[in-house]
This record gives sequence, structure tokens and C-alpha cells, in this order.
Amino acid sequence: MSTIKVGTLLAADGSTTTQPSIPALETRMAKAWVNFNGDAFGVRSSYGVSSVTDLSTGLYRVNFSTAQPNINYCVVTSAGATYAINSSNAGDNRWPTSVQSMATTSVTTQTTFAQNGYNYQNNQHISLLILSL
Amino acid sequence: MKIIYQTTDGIAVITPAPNCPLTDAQTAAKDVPTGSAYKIVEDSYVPSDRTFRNAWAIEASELTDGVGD
Repeated sequence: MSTIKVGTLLAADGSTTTQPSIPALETRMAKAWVNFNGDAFGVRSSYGVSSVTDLSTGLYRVNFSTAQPNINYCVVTSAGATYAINSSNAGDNRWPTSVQSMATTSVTTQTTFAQNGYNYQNNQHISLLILSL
Repeated sequence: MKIIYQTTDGIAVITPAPNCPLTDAQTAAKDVPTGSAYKIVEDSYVPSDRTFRNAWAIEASELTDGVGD
């Protein structure tokens, strides 16, 4: 077993924007991720995502920059609000979020809120992480 | 910048990712469903009050900036 110690690993072209290919590790790396505000709508930060579509209250589509190879990819999604404890919104602050549909070019997610009878509701902090082959 | 198109349930509003290298027109062509007409608008065009989000509507005649690929 040998050990490689290196400070910086670049792609062959020397660019800092072209990712070096490490085939054995690529399935362990995120193909895309995004953090967006589904209330006062805006995309805070992302990778591998071209846009986010606000389809209706609590229903959003994340569009990938590059299509996934198939629809058997892994989606991790979460949602949460920033209500302070003991604020008027204190109580059951569960925000169940789930994947509604998956395509190679996008994934559609929905957010619901316990205090709204688990009906669709816009959420301020929605994150999705995509892992695939 | 936002991209608006009509769906069977109302209006969809696309927000381009800030670090995406595509132009807004390229994003619209790629992310608007095939055959759907769209309009590219300023952020201020979209209401900030989302109380009646699902009631938003737009005249089809205003969707003049292109059609999704």
C-alpha cells in the first residue's frame, strides 16, 4: 500500500474549474445539490443545478445542469423553517418533505407543514442532494 | 431574472441558479417543458406576496420569449 500526499489535485488541463476524474470515487460524490428559499423564492447556492422551478405552493422542481444517467439516483431532501423557539410559530414545527417525481433531467419535491394540517406550504430552507452512478 | 410558463395548474416560475454558466435564454430553452411558451421577466414582475400563489395567472399572449426545447 502506497500513500500519495498532495496539496492540490488538478485536472490535466491545469484548470481549477475542470474537475479531475477519479472514477473509483465518482459514485460517492454528489452529482448535484441545492439550497433554496421556497418562500421568498431564491436559490442560495448550488452545484450541478441549472435552475429551480416554483410549480405551486410547496411544490418545486430542481433542474439538473447535466442529466442523470437514469432515474435510479438517490435523492436526499430536507426542509425547515427559521422560527425561533417560543415565537408565535412555536409548536409542531415538522416540515415533512418528500420526492414527488424523478426524471433524468429534474426532480420534483414537495414540502408540507404540520401546523397546516400537513398540506403543502412554502418553506424557507429546502435542500436537496443527488447521488448517482 | 425569472422565467414564467403556464402549467395545467397555473403558473410555474423558474429561478436560474446563480452559478449556472447558462444564459437565461439557454436555461429557459432547457428547463421549460418541451413546447411550452415562456416569458423572461425581472424579479420584480413576480409578486412577493405568495398568499394566493396558486391563483396566479398570465395571458398566453404574453408568453412571447420562446418555447421550451
